Amino acid sequence: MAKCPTKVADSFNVGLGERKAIYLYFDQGIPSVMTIDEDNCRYFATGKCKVCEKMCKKGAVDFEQKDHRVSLDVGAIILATGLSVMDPTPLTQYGYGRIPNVITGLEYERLINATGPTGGHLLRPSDGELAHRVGFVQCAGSRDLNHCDYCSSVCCMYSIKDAMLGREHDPESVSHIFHTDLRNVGKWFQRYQIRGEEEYGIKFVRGRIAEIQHGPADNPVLWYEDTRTREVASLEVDLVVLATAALPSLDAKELAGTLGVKVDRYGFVLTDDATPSSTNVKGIYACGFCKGPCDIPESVAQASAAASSASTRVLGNK
Amino acid sequence: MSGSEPTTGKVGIFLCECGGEIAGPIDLDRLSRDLSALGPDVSVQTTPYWCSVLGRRRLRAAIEKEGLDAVVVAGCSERTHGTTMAEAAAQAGVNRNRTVLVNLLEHCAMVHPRKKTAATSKAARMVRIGVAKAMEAIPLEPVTTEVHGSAVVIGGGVAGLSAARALAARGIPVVLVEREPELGGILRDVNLLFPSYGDAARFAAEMSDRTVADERIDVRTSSTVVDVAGHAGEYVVTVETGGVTEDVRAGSIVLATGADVFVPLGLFGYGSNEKVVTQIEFESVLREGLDDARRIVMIQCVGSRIAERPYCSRVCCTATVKNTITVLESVPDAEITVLTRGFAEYVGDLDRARESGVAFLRYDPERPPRVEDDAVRVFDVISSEEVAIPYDLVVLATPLVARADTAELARKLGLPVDDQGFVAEPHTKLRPSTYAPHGVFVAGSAHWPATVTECQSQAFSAASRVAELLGRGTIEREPMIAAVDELTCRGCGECVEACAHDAPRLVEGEDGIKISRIDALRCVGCGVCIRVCPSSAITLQQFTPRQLLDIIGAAAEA
Ligand SMILES: Cc1cc2nc3c(=O)[nH]c(=O)nc-3n(C[C@H](O)[C@H](O)[C@H](O)COP(=O)(O)OP(=O)(O)OC[C@H]3O[C@@H](n4cnc5c(N)ncnc54)[C@H](O)[C@@H]3O)c2cc1C
Ligand SMILES: Cc1cc2nc3c(=O)[nH]c(=O)nc-3n(C[C@H](O)[C@H](O)[C@H](O)COP(=O)(O)OP(=O)(O)OC[C@H]3O[C@@H](n4cnc5c(N)ncnc54)[C@H](O)[C@@H]3O)c2cc1C
Ligand code: SF4
Ligand code: SF4
Repeated sequence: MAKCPTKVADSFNVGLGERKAIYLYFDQGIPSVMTIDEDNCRYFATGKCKVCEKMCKKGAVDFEQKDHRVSLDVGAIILATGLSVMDPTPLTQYGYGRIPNVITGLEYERLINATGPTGGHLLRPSDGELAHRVGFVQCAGSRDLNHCDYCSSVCCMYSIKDAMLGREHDPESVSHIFHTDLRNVGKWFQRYQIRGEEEYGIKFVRGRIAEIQHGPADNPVLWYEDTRTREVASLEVDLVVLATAALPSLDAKELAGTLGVKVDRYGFVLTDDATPSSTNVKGIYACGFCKGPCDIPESVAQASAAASSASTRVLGNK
Repeated sequence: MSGSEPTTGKVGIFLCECGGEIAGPIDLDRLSRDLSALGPDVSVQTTPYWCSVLGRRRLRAAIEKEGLDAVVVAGCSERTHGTTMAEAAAQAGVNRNRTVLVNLLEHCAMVHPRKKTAATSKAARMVRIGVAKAMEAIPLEPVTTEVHGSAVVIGGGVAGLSAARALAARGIPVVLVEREPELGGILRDVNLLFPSYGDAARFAAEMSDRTVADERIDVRTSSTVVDVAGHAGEYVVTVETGGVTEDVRAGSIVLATGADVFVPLGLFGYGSNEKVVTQIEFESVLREGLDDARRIVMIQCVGSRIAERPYCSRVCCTATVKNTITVLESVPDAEITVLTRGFAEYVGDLDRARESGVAFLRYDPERPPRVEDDAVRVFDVISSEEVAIPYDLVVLATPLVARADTAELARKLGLPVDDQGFVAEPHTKLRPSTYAPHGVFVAGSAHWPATVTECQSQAFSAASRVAELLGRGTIEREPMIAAVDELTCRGCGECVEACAHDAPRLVEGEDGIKISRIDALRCVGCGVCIRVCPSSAITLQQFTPRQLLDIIGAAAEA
């Protein structure tokens, strides 16, 4: 991998870092096997290179491998296609793509991660300087009649988590979280929020951001109405994090169409009250975010539930 | 004290390069030389990956060739590779408890990437600590038990019913214990069910009927659980019905005792003003049919999201929004005002309620609404005005609160509860649906306020874990536990009081005197009992005092 001459944007790090054309999806990815990105590999483009083949002592690199289709005969299918995050570019008031230091929650997750492109330091895109003042913009695209009129459910809590991580990595970090109704309903979430406020100095501001302007030194400036004081105010920060709406995975509707599974208008798989794992098609079950916004513990509970329903069917008791 | 005295013998140190992850930051050659100097009973070797198939084969060969009694693998974490390495060493005859992992990767190499000399000295000290631990470790055998093939479900609300039916569908016999004369729990009092707006009581009744009709489920209504003895695989649950008790054997238990709806006595006139009811009472009003009440004021967060109860109960906003829509469907001229503190819970039908004409005002918890004889007076945060809303009925949304006796029952099961009385899991994020006692699972609002669908998911999830456990036939656990020296124990019962897992119990010893005995399958090895025991009769098997002293000695050595 080290010798591969081709560098491309790393999709695992949501384009924030670089990887080679032969790569490991990410450090803890399973299976832990190298892959060649056919679209970017020099050999596939020009017919020359094969540096990696020469380097590999085990002879594991095989340029002849082809994708192949397999047909599986199964008794049950579990849909667990999860989520994708909304591209915030159409939310022009936030300036994503235009103002360099406006990023998404997922991008922040990569920056603050020790195995991420910046080794866990919150270096902002414009100049690689450490961002101390961070503004989190909640409901970017969610609870918004023009985009997703539902609540994505997980962003309030992950923003609090991210702001806490920010402070852990940098004692000078100060985060403001601009929220609609702060959604902190899960087990001990309110206590977590209070801890964020008291121990990590997070400032919670109730109010929707009207606009983000491109301020001096590439600093984003947030304009908002504080619904508590009813005053229009602005705040200059080093970095803005958009808690972008979470949508069903990109091909969820297409996949549902192929399988004949009913989805709601957003593309989330429909299940009914009485049997929360079952879809309208016998033998097809669903769990996790593809059914609707939910966090990790709930995804796990639903997954066990779907596995339980599917195995009962496969074992022939139903 | 169980187990024989440690046999201090030959110890093998296995240094792992971990590719270059460890070999880069730490000078393994120097480390190896330093450690070899520890004495003739120590052998040191290095390999790229001890965890690989090849590495483990070499490890076994080395143990056999050199007749090692203890193994120290200096590589990565106990958590990720402890079992793998201990199993490999055990195949060559080294007791599982005498294989020790030293986490050079995360505790040394990764944190000191650019200080090779210092990192290498630190590594040497870490390995010496590991050697001390391994040499003094008592050989322990895993605790095994036969598994009884049936289950007990406690609580017959939607969670308990779903769990019982899912277990029965897999052919597992179930005893379902319900305290009330009827099954169904809270749902019996609910009118319509969000999100489908189906009939909740009918849903509960149908589910109950199917449960009663299922011959694999033995339903015991008007019954309670008075005691739980035993451990995962073989519990004995004492069930009392009408003054008669019976011992029921089971391999696993599902706790689904739900929650109580908070009764707001003295708040907003509840109890004295007959025009003030709770949301759950309002469900019954709606079932009967709303009489001539037209002006309805609903107040949210009555008794929740306050210092005393710092949580959102989730289901109350759902119930409120659902009930406003239900009212307006049948009585379109009703005037409904909902006073909220902002919705912590997001309800999908909020916009529908708004469009139907429900007014939502926000109040400040510092200036709560006042229910007076003629009107509800409230300071509306949005308009910054005091408003007076005349009413025929005030409906208070109160939270689900833990049942007082669930805590007591949880204790008998060895399940900790949090300070609000909800059952606690070891880690809500990293190990959801998993609980400290290996044979007990929890579903529904006993764990945390949950909607019906969540109750069901959790119930199915619990059922699949029960089925997995019962399917094993026997279970084996690492012996990381505390044990009582029966000669030293004076039977005071301090440990019984202290243990959150109900592992120690007082029993009659051979000569009739009371002594404490710890159930190895209930014990989680936390060590709380050791601290309270006035006779120092309890020892943690995987950390004896002698071992700890040696470890401290090795750590302090220059
Ligand atoms: C920025 C961010 C931070 C978050 N932080 C937290 C947190 O701190 N704590 C928490 O509890 N939750 C957090 N969440 C929520 C959490 O990510 C979700 O609850 C969880 O990932 C849902 O799991 P899932 O398995 O349903 O979906 P996913 O994790 O999305 O997994 C779906 C998988 O299916 C694959 N897939 C999709 N379509 C197909 C197809 N057609 N064929 C084959 N494979 C397919 C995808 O590649 C993916 O691997 C966060 C979410 C975001 C966006
Ligand atoms: C006003 C209101 C409206 C609601 N509306 C909705 C809605 O529209 N949609 C929705 O999804 N959810 C709704 N909910 C929530 C939902 O009804 C509950 O969360 C759910 O019913 C809880 O189910 P459960 O089985 O966990 O507990 P419960 O229903 O409380 O059942 C527990 C059972 O265990 C029994 N029990 C307790 N202790 C013992 C013991 N020691 N021994 C033996 N038995 C015991 C109890 O008698 C009870 O029958 C509403 C809740 C309220 C308060
Ligand atoms: S979870 Fe929070 S940020 Fe996300 S959509 Fe809901 S309210 Fe908005
Ligand atoms: S160590 Fe003691 S307190 Fe802890 S579980 Fe075992 S018996 Fe209970």
